[in-house]
Amino acid sequence: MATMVKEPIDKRQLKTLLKASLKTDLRSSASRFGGERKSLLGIPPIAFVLLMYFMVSVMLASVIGIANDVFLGAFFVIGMQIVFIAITILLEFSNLILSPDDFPILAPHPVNSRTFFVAKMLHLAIYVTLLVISLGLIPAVVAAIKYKSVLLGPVMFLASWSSGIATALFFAVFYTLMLRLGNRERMHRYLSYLQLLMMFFIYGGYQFLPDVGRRMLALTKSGFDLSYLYLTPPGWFAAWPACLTGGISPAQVWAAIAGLVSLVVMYFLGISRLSIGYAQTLNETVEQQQSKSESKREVRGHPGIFNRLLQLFSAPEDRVVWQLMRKQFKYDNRYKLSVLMIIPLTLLYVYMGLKDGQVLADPFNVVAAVAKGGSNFTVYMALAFIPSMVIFGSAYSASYQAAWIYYTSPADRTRLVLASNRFATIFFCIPYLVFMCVLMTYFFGSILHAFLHCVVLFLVLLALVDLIALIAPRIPFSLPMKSGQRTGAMMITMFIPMIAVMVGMRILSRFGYGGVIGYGTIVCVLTLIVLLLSHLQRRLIPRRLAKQECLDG
Amino acid sequence: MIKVDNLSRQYGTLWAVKDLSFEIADGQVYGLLGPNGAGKSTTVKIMVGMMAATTGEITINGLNIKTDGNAIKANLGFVPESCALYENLTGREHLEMVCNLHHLPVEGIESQVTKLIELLDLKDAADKRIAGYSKGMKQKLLLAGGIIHNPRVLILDEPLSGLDANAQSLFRELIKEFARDNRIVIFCSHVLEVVERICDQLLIIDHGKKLTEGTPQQIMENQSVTTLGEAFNRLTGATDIDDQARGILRAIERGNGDNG
Repeated sequence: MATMVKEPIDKRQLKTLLKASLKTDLRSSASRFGGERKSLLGIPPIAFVLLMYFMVSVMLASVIGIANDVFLGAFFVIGMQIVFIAITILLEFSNLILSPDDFPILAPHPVNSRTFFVAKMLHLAIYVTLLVISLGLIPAVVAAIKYKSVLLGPVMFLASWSSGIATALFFAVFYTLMLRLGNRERMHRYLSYLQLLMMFFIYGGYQFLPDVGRRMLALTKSGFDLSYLYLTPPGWFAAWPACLTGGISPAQVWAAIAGLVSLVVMYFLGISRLSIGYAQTLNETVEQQQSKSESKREVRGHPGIFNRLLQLFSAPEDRVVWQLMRKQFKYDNRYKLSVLMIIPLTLLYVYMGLKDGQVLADPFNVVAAVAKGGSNFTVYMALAFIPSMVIFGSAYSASYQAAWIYYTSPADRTRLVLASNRFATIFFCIPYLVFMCVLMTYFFGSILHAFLHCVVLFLVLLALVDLIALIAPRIPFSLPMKSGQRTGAMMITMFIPMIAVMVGMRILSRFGYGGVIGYGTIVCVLTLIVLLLSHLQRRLIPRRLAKQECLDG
Repeated sequence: MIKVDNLSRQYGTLWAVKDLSFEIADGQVYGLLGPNGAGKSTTVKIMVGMMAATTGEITINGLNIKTDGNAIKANLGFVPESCALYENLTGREHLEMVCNLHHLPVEGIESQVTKLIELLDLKDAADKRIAGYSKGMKQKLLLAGGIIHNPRVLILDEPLSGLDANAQSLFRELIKEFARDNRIVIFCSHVLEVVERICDQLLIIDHGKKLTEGTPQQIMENQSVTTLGEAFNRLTGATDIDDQARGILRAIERGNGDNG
């Protein structure tokens, strides 16, 4: 492999590689003869992410508005952008950085390292630019208007963009280093735990953003020394716009230089990682690791406790789906992450419901419930997003083409769909409900109230699960994942249940729990709704599934 | 008996299959041939229920695929062209899954699966993830999944690709045994030598339409040629293969000369 300096960039190859990678990434994996799969709310997944981030940027812009210092506002905006870009890359575009699969495809062709690197960089830059536009444009405009400086807007945007590129390159280096250092599967496992950890940021970011903004404002007003912020990466880039607004301190200059240096360092580190020569090394390493790990891997031949338990269930479709869900959870990192994501979310919502000394209000005590307001209803939100996240996660898979087997066998496809719903209810929702019951017994001071309330919540849960199956009946692991889909789904599972639960719980606590008749009426109505939905499922799902065709890529 | 009557399938403005009709008697190995994009896979996918027909009917042993889909599938085995399998399952788990999807009695599944795994030389890999299987092993697994429920109709889409010579011989014998037992085998392949050797009846299609139907011998006689390959080329309009090859060579020489 020739050195980078000696090899000229082949423009035609560059164009071809870039076009191919963008097409591969964005083109839907629908059937060969067309028939685009519908995405979330009919919007392409990547557009959905950008739209959601655009909404976040309005919140970020409001921080610029309230901060009385350019540096502090920029620090906050850039810091949040770095987190969002890192999460998006980890969740959606980790293959974009460097996939070991690149080499077998490109190796037979005369592609030089420099062309390969530039194509990778441009590919990355396009995504980062899109993300930075949606996240950083509005804050940059607001900063320019607030400080009446035409130059401030572009510089702030440039700082945002550079921090985004540096973040993406950092992940390129980090990702490839981890691939080289350890086993690929282990690396994917570690990455998924890292992703899980970062979920706290993304959800926490939404929930605590206004709070953090207020606290930062209070800090600046109190004259607290913020110079330690210059030591952090967001501080390096936030120093760029700060240098424009006069009163430049040596710390600011050094921080600005550190930002520039980090970008250059990341660029050169990236060159060594995003080369075709490195792709070759990576491919060889991964192949060796895979053959080693596959030869070591012996799965027990005899059925374990889970399999024996499964055999107790009468429907073969349940056994099939539950077995598959268990195995996908064990080996499919994407699926595992989509399920594990429930843990930080649940903890976050429970924390939010109980923070600041607020307690769960007893809905049987109407005055107390209304007086406590809406924020403690967040503990109920997990009930709404747990089933939707498990069911949603179970519909998508990299092995979606293997779903041909459901279409060619006499299996009841409605039962297959409902099996994943039952799995979510039994293994996720009911344990959470038991946890809720314990929590409520503590806060209500009455086990009877807690139990009765849990009965209502259980019926609400059943209705919700039935509704999900009715609205979007999906055969497990039969749909391809598309870039941006997971982030978009996360947003949906966050906002829609939030609204539904807040409204529902307010109505219940105000009108439903007034007395025995009120409670009885609520239980009867909910039971009727569940029965009606089950009946509708039996009638409508088979009809909808009959129209679905097997996707074979 | 299988009866396909005026079968059509449209994708947008393109007709992948148009007014296709044929019948297959019990005990026949029926070859479905055609050039790439001829409509073979579409026809097969409609027959196995992976796709719906735009118009037309398919009846298998008197049952209609539209109305009695599951009853047909209970007696139908399918080996797809692609090795699409849930790779996180083991081979054994895949076969157990197939048994469950076909509602086979739970108590017999384990022994049935073990027996088939041993007969197909998959014993060493049976409890390893499919992700680590070779193409041939996956193909054997697909075949095992296609026959484990003892179907009366077996549809094979390019079943020999990736298999070694021994496994290919085993597959060919198995197909013949199936037909001797008065079952139907539909065999799609591009390997004309194999098709000629094992198929009783052939259907050649192109652009979704029937070109000819008959025994391999009849088709060769009708085209006045001595091999099935020649008959196929003539029927599908690929008569100047030699000229075409020379043309390709000239084109790439000219193209490289221009660039150089």
